[in-house]
Amino acid sequence: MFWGVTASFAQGAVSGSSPAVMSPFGQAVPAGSGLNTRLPLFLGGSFGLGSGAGVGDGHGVGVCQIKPTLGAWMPGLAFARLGYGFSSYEERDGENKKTEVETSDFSIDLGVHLLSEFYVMGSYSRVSALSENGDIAWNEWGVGFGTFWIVFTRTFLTLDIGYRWVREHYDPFIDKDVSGGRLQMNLGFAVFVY
Amino acid sequence: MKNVAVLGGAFDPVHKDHMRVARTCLDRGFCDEVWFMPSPDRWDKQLNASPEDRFAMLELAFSGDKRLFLSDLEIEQGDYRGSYVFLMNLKEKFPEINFRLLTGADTYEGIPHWRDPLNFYGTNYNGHLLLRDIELIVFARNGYPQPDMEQHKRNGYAQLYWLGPEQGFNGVYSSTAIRRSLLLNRNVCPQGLEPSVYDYIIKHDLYRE
Repeated sequence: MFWGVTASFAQGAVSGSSPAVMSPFGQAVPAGSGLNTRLPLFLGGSFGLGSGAGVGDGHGVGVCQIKPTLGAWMPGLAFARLGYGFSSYEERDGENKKTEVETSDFSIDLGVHLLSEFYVMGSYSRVSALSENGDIAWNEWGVGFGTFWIVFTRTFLTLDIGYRWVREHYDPFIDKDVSGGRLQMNLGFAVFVY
Repeated sequence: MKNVAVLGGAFDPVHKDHMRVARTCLDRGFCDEVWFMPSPDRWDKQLNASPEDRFAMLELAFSGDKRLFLSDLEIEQGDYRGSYVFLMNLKEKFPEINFRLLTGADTYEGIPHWRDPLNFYGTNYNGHLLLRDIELIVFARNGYPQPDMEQHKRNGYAQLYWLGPEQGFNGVYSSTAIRRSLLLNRNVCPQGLEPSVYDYIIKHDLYRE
């Protein structure tokens, strides 16, 4: 089943007489034959855009993060992904004084492939925003869906879109409690390192 | 409502400026009482004497002023949770008291980055909540500037009182310098140290390293 469902995004020339698919694990294998066991570990990164709570001035549209990732991915089946993202932006207070805010985001994503290369995922993030005005941290929970494209034998691109629930936290810049939701899109890549 | 200034810290060891700042604070009317609250062992700072020894030295340094109180509440708490958690617990325990944190200008700069080391693997920052929820009395420390009172107010933080040379206080002693003096020469009581505290240090062979 595993290789059957990945057949739809097969690419590259393969040899042999039986139908075959190109595996992101780096080799062409006959459809229906089992996985030639290799570790599904990957390293990667993503670039995220968000709109809503937790971006820039508390609310808005902007670059959320650049996030190196690592994890295990079995295309067509499931994945687990850890990420540590970081970014910085400037906040302005009531007196128009600029302050640099450095953010970091430790996340765990768990996904399951439902339709071939399409997957659904759930995520948890612990986000920190550090600045002179005060360090803060909060939790975010998310759900989303995504897809991926193989671009080289061991490399693929990912795109996922989701909604994140930003848990309540006090933001010293705007002097009020912040909570809400955010639409989030992440474009990433992963390279199998086996 | 009674105003109580909480003077927390390691008191490693207690010195004359600790007592002087407390009395000046009382004399200036910034509070009605000062509670000394030595901290338990800390995650962020290597302490040189045990909580019991630091508490014992504080007892020796106390002068009998009825407006000064020594409390082991924070030590009894066991784990070091940082000032915000401790002060909020105090507020809950003594709702009829308005607590103010009495702290040095050196410490003030770091407050926005304080956190609870035992919550969420140390990522639960609460310094900004302390600034918002707890009034501060900040005293002068050598080499550290007076806090920007206007900026503090603009940030929406709670009331800030300044205790500097103009109010009759100018801190000159530090526990670090006293420990260093003891390392260099244990035969002389370092400046700023009460003789009774010095005797305790020698008797219990403290601050050897």
